[in-house]
Amino acid sequence: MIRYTMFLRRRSILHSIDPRSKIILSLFLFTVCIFFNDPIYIGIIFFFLIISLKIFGKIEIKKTLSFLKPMLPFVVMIMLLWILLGSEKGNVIYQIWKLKIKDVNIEMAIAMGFRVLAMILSTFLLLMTTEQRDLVLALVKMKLPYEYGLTIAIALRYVPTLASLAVSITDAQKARGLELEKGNILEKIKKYVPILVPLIVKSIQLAQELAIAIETRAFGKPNRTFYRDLKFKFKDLVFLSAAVIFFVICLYLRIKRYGVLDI
Amino acid sequence: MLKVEDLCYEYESGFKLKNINFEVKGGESIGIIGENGSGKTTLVKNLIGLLRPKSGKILLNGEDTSKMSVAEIARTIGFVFQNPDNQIFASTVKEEVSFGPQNLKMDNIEEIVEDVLKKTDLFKYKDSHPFKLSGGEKQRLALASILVMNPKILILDEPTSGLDLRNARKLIGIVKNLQREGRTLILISHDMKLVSDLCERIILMKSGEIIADGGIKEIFNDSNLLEKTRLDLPEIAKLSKILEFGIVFDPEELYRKWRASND
Ligand SMILES: Nc1ncnc2c1ncn2[C@@H]1O[C@H](COP(=O)(O)OP(=O)(O)OP(=O)(O)O)[C@@H](O)[C@H]1O
Ligand SMILES: [Mg+2]
Repeated sequence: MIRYTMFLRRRSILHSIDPRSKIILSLFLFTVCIFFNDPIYIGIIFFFLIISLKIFGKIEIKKTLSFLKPMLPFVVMIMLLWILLGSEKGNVIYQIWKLKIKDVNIEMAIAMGFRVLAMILSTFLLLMTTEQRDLVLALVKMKLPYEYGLTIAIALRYVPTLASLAVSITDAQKARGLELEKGNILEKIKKYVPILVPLIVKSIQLAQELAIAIETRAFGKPNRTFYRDLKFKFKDLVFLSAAVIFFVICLYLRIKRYGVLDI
Repeated sequence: MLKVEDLCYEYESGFKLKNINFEVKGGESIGIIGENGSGKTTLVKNLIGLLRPKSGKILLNGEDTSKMSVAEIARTIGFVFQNPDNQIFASTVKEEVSFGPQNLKMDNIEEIVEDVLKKTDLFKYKDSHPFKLSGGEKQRLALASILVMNPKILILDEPTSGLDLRNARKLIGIVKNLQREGRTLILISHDMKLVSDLCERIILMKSGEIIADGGIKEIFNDSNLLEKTRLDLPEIAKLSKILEFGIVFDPEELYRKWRASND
């Protein structure tokens, strides 16, 4: 079944933290991944993230890995590109025909693999421990106009709905003999018409219904209040300070060029 | 014609079909019934190859379907989906119905399409836009676009839900004509009246298992089963049971029995 959100309900510290702090932490972690290119440093960040999710977020390591799994082809592609097209420096350790595989490039490929995974994890950390409505509320409280917040919420909400709709439509057309795998590229593109047309028609119908639903709830009336509110508590302050200290330490290391390899 | 041996299937969500065994003979009409979520649709999706069994076999005319594509299976088993809007994409009814035969590279498409449109009472709309059709007509269009591939076995999933009496009757009339032609019918429905009207045999499902398979009258007579699955018999069957005439679906037959018992 297609999941509606990435959110996993647990009773944990990470879940109880104010989403605004988590958004900031997420941005910090994301940036820190770009600071370093030493595989050891980035590797540490990656494992630190997985273990923190387990300890502070009560999210089983198996679960985290299952979320990362669909990203693997992407990661492998990036690593291959680094191995094949990386730096000119370094020692050749293996050569097939004209392709030279160099030690530095292997090192870089590992670093970049971890970097992409850690970047993905830093956003997952936010999405797995924060309910969508809290996320949107946090963005609005951070002065994002409510219209944009609502748009983001709707987009997040409808991605899985449309995905499962696309599956049903594809199933229906397959039962009418549609074979997506066959044919050359042009023919394949043409085969998506019977799937895209019903999908678009349905999406427009959904959008119209949604517009009416929003309209009937007095959307656009100024001075809206919120049913749920966010309170920035003492523990959020502690959490945010820890995140800032972590970021400053990493920034310092970066400026001193620790964890940065020259290639 | 169709034989299912020890079929097991499991969704990621944990729902399982367990050890499904049954055989369908040519020309039979079978009703698959059971509570919401008992696995009827899942079973049927396995039959047509949209889902593939985890273990066990499906034999179609003696041939194992695990090596056949959905399109190949569709030549013999036609599955009419619940929601016609999920498959309408063409700009005329005729074009819509031609989609299946084109995929299967059939001959004389023009002729068979016209023939099916006549059978399903849609011929007068052949050049109209499918989106302009009413709910009942769209349902018949969905049926037509499967029938046109001339499948020996026809599977209908809740064909009359959402239809008014007139449109439901029209659809039932069409299905009865197909039965007379000798086509095999598998009907999924919660409407026991419809099931008793069209089928002689019933497969009763509960929590992913077949808990009964047999003649409709036998099963409707089994009070234990009815209790266990909360089946609601057609009113006339309830009455005939109270009068101790067994299960009777035909009012005239009930009247005759009543007269006979009074003499
Ligand atoms: N794509 C899916 N992924 C995971 N679980 C699913 C999926 N589709 C259905 N299920 C689950 O499998 C179970 C059986 O569903 P199924 O649709 O086969 O039931 P059904 O007997 O057809 O019910 P209904 O009478 O409501 O149509 C349900 O519990 C459902 O939640
Ligand atoms: Mg169903």
